[in-house]
Amino acid sequence: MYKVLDVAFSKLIKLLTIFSLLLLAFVVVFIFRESVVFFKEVSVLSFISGRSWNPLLAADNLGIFNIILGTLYVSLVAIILALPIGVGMALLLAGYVEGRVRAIIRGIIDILAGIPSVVYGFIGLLVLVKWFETRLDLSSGESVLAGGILLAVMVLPYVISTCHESMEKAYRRHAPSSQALGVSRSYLLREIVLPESRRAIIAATVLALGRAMGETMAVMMVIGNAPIPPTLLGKCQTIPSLIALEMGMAEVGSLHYHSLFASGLVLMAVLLAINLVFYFVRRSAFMK
Amino acid sequence: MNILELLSLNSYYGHEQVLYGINLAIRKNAITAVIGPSGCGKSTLLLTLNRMLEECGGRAEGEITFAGKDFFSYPKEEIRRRIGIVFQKPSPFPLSIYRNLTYAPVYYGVRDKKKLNEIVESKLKVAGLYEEVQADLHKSALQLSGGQQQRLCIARALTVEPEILLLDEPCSALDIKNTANIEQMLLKLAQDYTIVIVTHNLAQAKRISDYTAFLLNGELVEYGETKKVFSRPQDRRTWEYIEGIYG
Amino acid sequence: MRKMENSRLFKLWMVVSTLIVLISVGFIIGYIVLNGIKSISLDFIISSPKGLPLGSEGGILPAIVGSLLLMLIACGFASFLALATAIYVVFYCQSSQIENIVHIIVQCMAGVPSIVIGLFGYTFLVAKLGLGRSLLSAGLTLGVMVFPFIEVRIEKSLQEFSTAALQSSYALGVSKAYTLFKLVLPQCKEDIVAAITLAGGFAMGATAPIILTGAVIFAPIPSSLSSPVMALPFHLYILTGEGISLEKAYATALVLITLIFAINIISIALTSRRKEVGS
Ligand SMILES: Nc1ncnc2c1ncn2[C@@H]1O[C@H](COP(=O)(O)OP(=O)(O)O)[C@@H](O)[C@H]1O
Ligand SMILES: [Mg+2]
Repeated sequence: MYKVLDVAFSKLIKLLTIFSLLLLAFVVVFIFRESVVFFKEVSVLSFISGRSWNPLLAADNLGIFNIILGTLYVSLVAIILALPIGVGMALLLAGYVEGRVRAIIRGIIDILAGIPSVVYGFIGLLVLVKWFETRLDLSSGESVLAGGILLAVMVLPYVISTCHESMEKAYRRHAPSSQALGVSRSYLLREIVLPESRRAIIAATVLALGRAMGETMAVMMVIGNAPIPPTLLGKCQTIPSLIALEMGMAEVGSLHYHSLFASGLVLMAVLLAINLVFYFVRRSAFMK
Repeated sequence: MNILELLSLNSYYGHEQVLYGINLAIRKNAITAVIGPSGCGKSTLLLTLNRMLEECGGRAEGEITFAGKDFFSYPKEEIRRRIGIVFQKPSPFPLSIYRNLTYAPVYYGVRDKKKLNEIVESKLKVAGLYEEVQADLHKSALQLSGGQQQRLCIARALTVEPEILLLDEPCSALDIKNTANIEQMLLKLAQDYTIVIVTHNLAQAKRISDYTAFLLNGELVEYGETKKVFSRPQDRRTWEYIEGIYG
Repeated sequence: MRKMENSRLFKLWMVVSTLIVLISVGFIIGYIVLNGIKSISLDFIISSPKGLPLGSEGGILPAIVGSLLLMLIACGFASFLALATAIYVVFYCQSSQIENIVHIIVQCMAGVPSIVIGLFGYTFLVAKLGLGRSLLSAGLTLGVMVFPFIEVRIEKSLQEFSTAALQSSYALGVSKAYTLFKLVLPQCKEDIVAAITLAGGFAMGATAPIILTGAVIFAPIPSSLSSPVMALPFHLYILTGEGISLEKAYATALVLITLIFAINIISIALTSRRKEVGS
């Protein structure tokens, strides 16, 4: 009896897998096709280099240059803030914390990762933005910096856990012989563990950048959403928030609607490019 | 009587040939030892005989007769049931001792609780493990010691009533006492089963086996009664190996 | 001398970083809990939003139920397919080429930002398939989002299953399906359930994919798959974004993170139990 079930089961599994893959491939192709429609009307170049975004006017007003810049700017601020903090904490976790305490701290980091982005946005709006307005005396606290700080907190768990994993291994591997030489822990961490973890740090950077650039709600709630050239303390717009805000207004099938898909595609292309660049950097710089 | 006859058997992993033209007749209800240096193809030979080779990315060709019929004409599941194998590294399932032993019988349709208990008890007794574990049959098999795990694996292989039992260096990770236990058991088993044992330990081959096959670089160099192979080897290379020249 | 200073700075860096992270977590949780607890009540949890503008009074029961339903649909849909895919890749797939293709597609999908998945759900499910803004559309969109998340974790767990035990099972002449159901799945069960619950927390907190596929400002508890729903994260977004009621927003945030933590704790408990059993 098991034999019949066996054959049936293997067929079922295969069918379900094919279905899943077709579904996923369909999603990707769908996004691609909806964007291609747009690029028949507006050239890729003028779309990504165009400085004005005004979907209510003519097609030549659909340029997302400022929005791409905004996306990159907010994400870079986030990475610049999150990377040193994350790496520092991962080192401390690898070298100084063990057993229960480590488990608890990892749990705390998981908590950070589990908080939904809309809650981050909510706190960002009520605390960060307000603080900017009252303390820094800005007319509006909604800014690249606010988005960057918020995103930094959001990507920290990814940076920490990616780095921590590799640092812990490196520490375990070298601790006995280093201790035998009478060298301090911090020296070992600084001279051996940190340099040996550069691959992990790069991986963490790419991962965090991907997260940051794709993040919607938290960023949208604190950056002001103005498609203008971004400055650190000024408003800006990112691609995900652009899509979130405007897809409700765009009539399905209109040029505006297709332009939103196209910006999604551009976002994904930028992410892919970043992944590729880092992949090759890593291969060429570290394979030796 | 020969239960298994191999005629110019070749085994491969991908394009790499590992066994070359093996001719070998395995005697029923005897213990046959397979000896030879590391990498000569002993494990591959056993995997071929249980049709596990294809599971490990290999394939075999040649003529094999099993119980008077073409080996390859049997469904592979039947071969695996009738020719059991115990691997070098103890590999208990992450289940209880009891469930390790009922795992295969249930698959082959034994549902009766009493029957299952009987199988568990008798196979544990054969493997000389019953005394040690009877108090706690439902504890995880992973908590047993290495020697106990290996005996459990042997008992498990016996639960499907195979005709031939293949053992791949079953004692290589065990201490003297556990090794002696297993040897005792194999000698007893040989009354009902045909046993083929790969071993690194020449003294062990000498102690327990009736026949010995010497493999070198994928070729069968010598095969005969154990006494003769060890006292008057026909081939110079066998003599060199026995004298410890290949290590 | 120089060495000493470097070493101090290095230690300072590590300690300050750690403090920043711990303080951030403490602040975020403290902020939500302290503010939320003031405005939360049983009535808030078991009644519907009321008042003008809607939501300034009353509770969030429909949003709680809506979020749970969305999570259920997303996880049910995604885990069914993800489990099958993972099993196929680990146990049935013979060619490493096909395995690579599966991995590439899954990775691709994992890299698609959630808002773009929302865009897909809006266009394809809501508009083209005519499912409308509904529980079903939003649930399926979330399902597409969490599919890679679940698949990757289940596949990892299956892959970690002892090869030796697998070989021993096949060596007894036992079939793959039997091996899977009697040996592998019982052993990986906790991991699989943990992956699914974790994905549930992820789905429950996600806003971007449901903005246009099903979440609405107000709806009663959905009566069918085609009804629009309220969802906690979307409700929080509306309460804040439209400036309806700060108090209600705090309380909603508290309910949302409490639910998500409860889900995560279940998942962690399952994983640690697995570790004990396995030892
Ligand atoms: N799964 C495999 N794939 C490819 N080659 C293998 C595999 N297993 C064993 N081999 C090769 O086959 C030869 C014989 O191996 P084996 O039968 O394990 O030798 P023994 O058991 O005598 O030590 C070795 O050269 C080994 O490298
Ligand atoms: Mg071997």
